[in-house]
Amino acid sequence: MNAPRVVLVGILCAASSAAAQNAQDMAVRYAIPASPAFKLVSVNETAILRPASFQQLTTALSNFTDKKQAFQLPREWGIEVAPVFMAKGRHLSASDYQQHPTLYRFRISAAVKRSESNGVNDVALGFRFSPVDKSDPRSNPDYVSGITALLTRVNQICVARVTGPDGSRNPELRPNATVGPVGAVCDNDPAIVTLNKQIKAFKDAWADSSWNKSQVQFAFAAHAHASDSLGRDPEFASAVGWFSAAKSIGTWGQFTGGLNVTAKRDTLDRQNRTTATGGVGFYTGSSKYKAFFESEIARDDTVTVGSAKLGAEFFLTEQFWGHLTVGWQSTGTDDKGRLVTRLTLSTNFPLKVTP
Amino acid sequence: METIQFKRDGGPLFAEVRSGFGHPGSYTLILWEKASNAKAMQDKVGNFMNTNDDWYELPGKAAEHDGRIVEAFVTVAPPRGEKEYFVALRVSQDDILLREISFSGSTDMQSITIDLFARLAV
Repeated sequence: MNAPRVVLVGILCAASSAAAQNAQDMAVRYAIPASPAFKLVSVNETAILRPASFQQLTTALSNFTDKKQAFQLPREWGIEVAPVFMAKGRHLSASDYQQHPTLYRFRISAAVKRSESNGVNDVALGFRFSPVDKSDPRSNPDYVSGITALLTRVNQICVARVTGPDGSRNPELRPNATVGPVGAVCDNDPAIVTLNKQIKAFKDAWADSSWNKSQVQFAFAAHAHASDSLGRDPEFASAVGWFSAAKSIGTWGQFTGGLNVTAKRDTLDRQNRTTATGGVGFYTGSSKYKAFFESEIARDDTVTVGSAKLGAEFFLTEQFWGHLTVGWQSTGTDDKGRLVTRLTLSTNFPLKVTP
Repeated sequence: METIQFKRDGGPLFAEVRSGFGHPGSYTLILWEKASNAKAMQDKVGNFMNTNDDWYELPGKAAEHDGRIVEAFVTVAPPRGEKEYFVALRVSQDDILLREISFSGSTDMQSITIDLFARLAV
């Protein structure tokens, strides 16, 4: 058995053989990336747009100009939208969303990156579907009813404040009455300040409880080399399909399973190679501190590799998370695999400037 | 103040309160008498958990509403990580939308209450 190698701060020790390196390359996580296209074409986080409305989208696109103020796509950019949600946006009621959550959760991602050296554009397009997502607050009856109860209390107090202590003041007779946010007369009311703190605590508790909620998701993304940023004359580079499912166990655990199939064109012999990866996992703990077991097996035309590991994830600060794993990884050769230990520190600093 | 014109001899008037972006929320719908602090109907208190019950017939014949003020206080809370909101007060007659009084914006606050109102006139 190989001696364990300790990895610090995300630096991975180099594989000792070509087979071991291949095993590392093939160990593609089955978890669906948040934006499938960005997984295939790596785009700087600051170049990614995530507009929630057409207004945000047009504002962001208005920044895509050259020195003469003509429209020009940047060398590197990405976009992710929920198109149906964005199209319906202002006219989307809570009950509409609850009746068709899969439709409104559907997301498209696209990424373009132009090489400085040869002018080739890497373009990728991705689609993500979430038929089941118990962590989605809009489609969860407990979240909706809980927060509605708090908002009803805020509303009642605010109405009493605005329409006068006797509850009767017509806007015609109310000085400075305007359509819009009620403002300080309600926002600074002590009872409403307290209720807003309760609302924040409710939202935070919901977010903390979402880590192990049940989900079913699948996604697809394709990557091509193109002659321009609009994807003309595309040449296939790779395509990936994902499926993942998670089942919650009370408030303390979660089972996960997933499958990933990747087809990739070899740049040397121009042959397409297909890799399939499947895995299962179990997690227990809380949002900030959890232990887990994960296992994966990956297979392509030439080799099958596998891994199994125990690990822990722990919250340090809002910007730093730690991960510790100890596990076994096969190399796809005749040896018995190797023991790998890894300690990494992840950061969560906001990089994207929203429009 | 915005004015919503309607037909004196048309059918009853209906008021509807809406919240966009799928946000949950609560509202109070008020119908004021003309130039008075008296109310023409009991306040309607509702929420957006079921949009089927966010339609309200304004009591009485259409002509009686001339000069009255229809008002809605709408309180919404975008989920964590979101800021945009949209709320609207819509008045209809004979299945025709007469006018929509709306307001949209973004907020960092946990909840926001918006005042929407308009005068009804023939």
